[in-house]
Amino acid sequence: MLKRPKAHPAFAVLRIAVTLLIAVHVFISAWLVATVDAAYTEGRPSPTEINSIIAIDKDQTLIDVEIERATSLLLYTLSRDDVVVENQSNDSTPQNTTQSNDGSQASSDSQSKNRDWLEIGRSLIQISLVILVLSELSLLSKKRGLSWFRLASFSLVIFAFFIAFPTCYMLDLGVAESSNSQEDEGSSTVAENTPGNDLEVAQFAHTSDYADTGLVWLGFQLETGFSGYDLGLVEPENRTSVMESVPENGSEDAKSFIAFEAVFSIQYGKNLDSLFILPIMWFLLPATGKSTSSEEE
Amino acid sequence: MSRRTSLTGFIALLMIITAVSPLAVQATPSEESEYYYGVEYDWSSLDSDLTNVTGLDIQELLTEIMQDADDAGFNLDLGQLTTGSSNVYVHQTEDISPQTIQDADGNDVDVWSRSSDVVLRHGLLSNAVIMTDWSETTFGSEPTGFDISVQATAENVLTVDVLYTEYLNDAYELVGSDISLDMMISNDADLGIDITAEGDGEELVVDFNTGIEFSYSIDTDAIWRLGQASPIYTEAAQNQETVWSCDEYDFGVYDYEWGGGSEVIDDCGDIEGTYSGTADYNVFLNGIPTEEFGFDAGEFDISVSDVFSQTGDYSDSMNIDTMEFSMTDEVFEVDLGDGEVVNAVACQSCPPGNPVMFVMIGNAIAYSSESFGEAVAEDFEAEIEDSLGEIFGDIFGGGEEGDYDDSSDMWMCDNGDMIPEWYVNDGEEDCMDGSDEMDFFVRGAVMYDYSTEMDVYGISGTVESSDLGYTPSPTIECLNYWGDYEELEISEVNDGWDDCEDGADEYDSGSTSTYYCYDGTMISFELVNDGTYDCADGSDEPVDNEGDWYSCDNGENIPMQWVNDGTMNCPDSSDEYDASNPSTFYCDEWATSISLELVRDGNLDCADGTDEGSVNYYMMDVNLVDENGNLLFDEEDLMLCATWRCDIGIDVQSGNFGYMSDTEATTQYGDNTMCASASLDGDEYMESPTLCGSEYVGPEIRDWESGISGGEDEVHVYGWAGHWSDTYDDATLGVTINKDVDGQTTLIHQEDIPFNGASEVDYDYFFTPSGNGDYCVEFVLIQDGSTTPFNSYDECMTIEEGPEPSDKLMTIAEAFAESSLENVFEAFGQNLEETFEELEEQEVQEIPYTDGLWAPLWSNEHATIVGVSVYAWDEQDNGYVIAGPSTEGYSNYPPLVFASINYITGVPAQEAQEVMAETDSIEEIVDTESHDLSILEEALEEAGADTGDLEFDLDQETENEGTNEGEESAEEVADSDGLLPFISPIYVLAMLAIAAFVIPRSKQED
Repeated sequence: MLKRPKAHPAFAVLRIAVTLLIAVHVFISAWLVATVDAAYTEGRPSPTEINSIIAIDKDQTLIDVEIERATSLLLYTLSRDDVVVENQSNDSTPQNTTQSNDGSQASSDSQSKNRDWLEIGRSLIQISLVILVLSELSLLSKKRGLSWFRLASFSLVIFAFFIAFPTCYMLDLGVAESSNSQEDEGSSTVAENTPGNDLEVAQFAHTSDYADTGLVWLGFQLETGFSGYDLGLVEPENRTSVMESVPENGSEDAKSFIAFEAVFSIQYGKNLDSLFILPIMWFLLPATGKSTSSEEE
Repeated sequence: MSRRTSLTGFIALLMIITAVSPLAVQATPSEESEYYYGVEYDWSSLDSDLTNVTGLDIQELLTEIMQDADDAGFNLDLGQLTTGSSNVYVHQTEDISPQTIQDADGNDVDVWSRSSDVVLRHGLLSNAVIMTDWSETTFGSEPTGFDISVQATAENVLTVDVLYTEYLNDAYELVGSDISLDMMISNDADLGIDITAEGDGEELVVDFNTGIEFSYSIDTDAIWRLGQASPIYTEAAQNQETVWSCDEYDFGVYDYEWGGGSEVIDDCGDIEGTYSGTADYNVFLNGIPTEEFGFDAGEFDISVSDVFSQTGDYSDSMNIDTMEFSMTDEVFEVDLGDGEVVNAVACQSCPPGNPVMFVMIGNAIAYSSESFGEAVAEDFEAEIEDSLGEIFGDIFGGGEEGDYDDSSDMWMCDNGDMIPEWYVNDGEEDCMDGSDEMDFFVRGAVMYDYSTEMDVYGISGTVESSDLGYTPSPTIECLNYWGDYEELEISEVNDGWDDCEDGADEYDSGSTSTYYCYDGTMISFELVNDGTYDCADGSDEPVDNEGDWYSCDNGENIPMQWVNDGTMNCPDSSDEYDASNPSTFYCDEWATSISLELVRDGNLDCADGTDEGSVNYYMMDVNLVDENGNLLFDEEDLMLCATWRCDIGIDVQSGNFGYMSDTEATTQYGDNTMCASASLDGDEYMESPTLCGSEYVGPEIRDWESGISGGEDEVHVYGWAGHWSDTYDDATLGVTINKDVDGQTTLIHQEDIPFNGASEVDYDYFFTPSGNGDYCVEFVLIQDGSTTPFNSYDECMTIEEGPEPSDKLMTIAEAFAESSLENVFEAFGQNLEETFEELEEQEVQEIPYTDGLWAPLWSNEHATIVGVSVYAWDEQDNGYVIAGPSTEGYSNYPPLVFASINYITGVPAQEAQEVMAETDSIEEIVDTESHDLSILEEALEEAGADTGDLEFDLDQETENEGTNEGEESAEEVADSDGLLPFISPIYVLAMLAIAAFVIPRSKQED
């Protein structure tokens, strides 16, 4: 069995250099990568495919959306009406039907809230990386107990990257969801820009859906599916009957059947695994005489 | 026989044939002919050609514009580079060997054939660059400025391959043709914009790309067979003017109405074919700096694409809009290449190739593309219908909720399909089963009776008049004063009034001199509607549908068959012969008088036969009820005939009729639903279905408008209600404006405007919106005494704050607003104005020609187009070939060439066609190496531009990951290897391990 190497003064320089290198390496890399692969089906043999990738790094959230066989989805977006189902209470307000295609934005307040969560996560990561480098530098003083400080700072980095930041992103999504439901308007957050994430169940009849979560390498994924009769595609006078019973196959109302399927996955940035070099480096390049003495024993 | 001898003999034969022309094309050619011609254009000559055509030096003009900018205080550099090639080659051959094809009826026909093999290749590469920068620094402040570069690239490709074969019989008549056509169009366009803007210490960098790619290809094979062999080629060869068109029933060869030529009307038959089509598009946007405009995402890249592929077939009637063959007098002796010389005339109205082939190409492309489009649209049927409905709704003022619910105005066909109610009985079958067009129907109506000055119930309707035994009069086609062609009844012809704008209804010895009877015979137009039948089929005189009427002594008229029928129909009994009081019947236009006893006795006593005449009339029963089934009016035994003498007069041409009852209408304002039915009894018995429809009564809201006005802080609401003629004193226009926020409704304004005896009222109101929300305006019309509006319209508009620009953007914008940039642009505008004024003062380039001619070259010998040429003549009447084949007596070296067109014939054309036929990509069609962007770069640098940041290979960039160099896409960021692009973590660990063991050992050695 290989013995642990003895401590050496040159190791400190090497450790600091590698720590700095890895800190900068992960800092400039993508921290979180979300992908959405969705399919929209409405009668056409080949469904519309939406592939979206969202990369979040130290500065910004980058979104790429690729929509293939897009025509049916574009026409669907143009043609459907937003339907608000009337309350069955004694509310005398007439049924309200509004167009959904105006793409209005959430208020500036909710935007700042959404942005805050990611900013908090980014700040936490920046601070933790600085502390990590400082902790490695502090070992130059050879005071006892500083290795625990280094371990704690490393733990903080791991926490920041792997728990805090994804949580911040999920909170960001959550805020966006809530602002969607409260205002019944679109918002300009990442959540809204995630295709397939704006299904409004109240506008569909005879829906069925499923959701399944699972772990993937350095992340997790959510598989969702949704299908139903879109009341926005049904003539207003037929909506009640469609809500009451499933349209017959081949009827005009049956054409309102649509289906969305999506796989939403959130994975850590591919370069984050280099952080785990650090504890191995600590083993290979010990900082204190403890290892030396143990070897002497 | 040697080639030389053969050629000489052939030319001699051609000359002989030409000499005995025009009869030369009335039989199968005795020898086959084959020739090539082609036209090429190199787009890199575009600048010089533009200079030749306009007299302007484009590059010099651009330099002056750049200098204007420099003088105004900012840098502007413009550059463009265009490279491309357009080529079309035609190879025409004849195959005079006997062949057999099937005609339109499936019968075998002996023919010979000739083919045109056409290869068209067009490719164009364009790059344009605009670079501009400006900066200003004032003492004690940060610089303000911009640096913008805009690059546009475009790539266009069009390829067409046509193999057209037409079949002619021994009489040189066209029997039909086959075509195989492959066409591909592709367009790629990209736009890249790099902007660096700074102000007050902030800097904004935008690197934005967008582009669209589109391609469409269609391959089709089609067969066309005429309904009868067409003499179009022989007629075109024999006449200076020939007009060709289609008519399935009235075909033949006629003298051209406008004189000097021939009119060929063919039963053009059908075209049938198969197709395979593909279309695709891709639109992308990259580098949108959404964060700077208040959106959360840092950058948003999107691409949207689709591909459609369909195969199928089509079959339809051959569509030939009137085609003219208009030949010049002058005969050109042109060299078709390889020494073959023919005489040709210029067919100025012809395309630059066989006109019939162009017709076939047009039909094949149109029908295959239409079928392809329909097949693709079937996939999206529901969405397309909804989308179009929404778009048209927006255009015509609808679209928002509550304003118009069309669901109640739908009508169900017998097969269950729904169509808009106004399509019913509109003259066109809109239901697949045709059930929306009825032979006999009536609708309820509210009519104004001027005699009693009150509204009364009535009906209007239509019946197929021929079903009732009426015969529509002959008609002529007439261009009316609204610019539409309509059928004018012949009773209106030669009546002294110009009913047609072009005077086609009145005899004129010049233009309107001939009338074609329905049987095809020709008479003088002067004889039409003169009271005498000149056409054998009588189609030159109106049909008498009125019949013969008996005039009672008291002036009333009754049908002749009621005379002496044993029933007293005249109130004064004068229709029944009374031996005690004999009376007289006058006929033959009062020239003859006979005893009333002889009327309707079965014997013709009058020369004009009116004593035994009759009237074709029907008795109609009408029933009208409201939507609840309450009877509105019900009348029986109303006489219907084709004259005003009956209760209901029918217009035989249209079958329309109407009837106004005496029953006062008790309608309310607004829509009144009425259901009408009727029956006709006479020689035939007919019953109409019960048709319900709404009749609107009273004033209505006729115009409305609402929107932001006067900037963004004021809303303008306008409405107008009324009637074009009637006045009202019992109606009020009510207007309500509400604000709705999260279901909370606040009244903004409410106003009632009574009509007070006026025919119309309007409402014009401005208000300042108080914050975000839905602002809704509702117009209602209410009749006095009622609380329910009889007409209403409402619409809402949403006012909300848009995303807020970033602080950086606002800071820079404020810095620009405070800078002198406005003055700089103002100075630039003035400089430009002066430059263009100087341009106008420049002398226009003198063109050394006094006349020119576009000349598709028609050979009577070949009875087709054999080439195309452009000729010009100078003051001394010297002729030049600007572009085209060598022509005897015309110089091939003109003093000025407008465009660098290369016309080739013979072997060079053949070789070029063979080479080009193998190409299909831009790289193969265009010499892309000569599209040297470094030339553009150098030109810009010479002009002083810094081209360091330009990405001249923009297109390549967009293909590669779809982003530009300066900005990374989400995928690139996610895949980035960071600082360790070539070293994996394992490798790093291995290096560390080595270091861990090597370093201590080296220490020990020391």
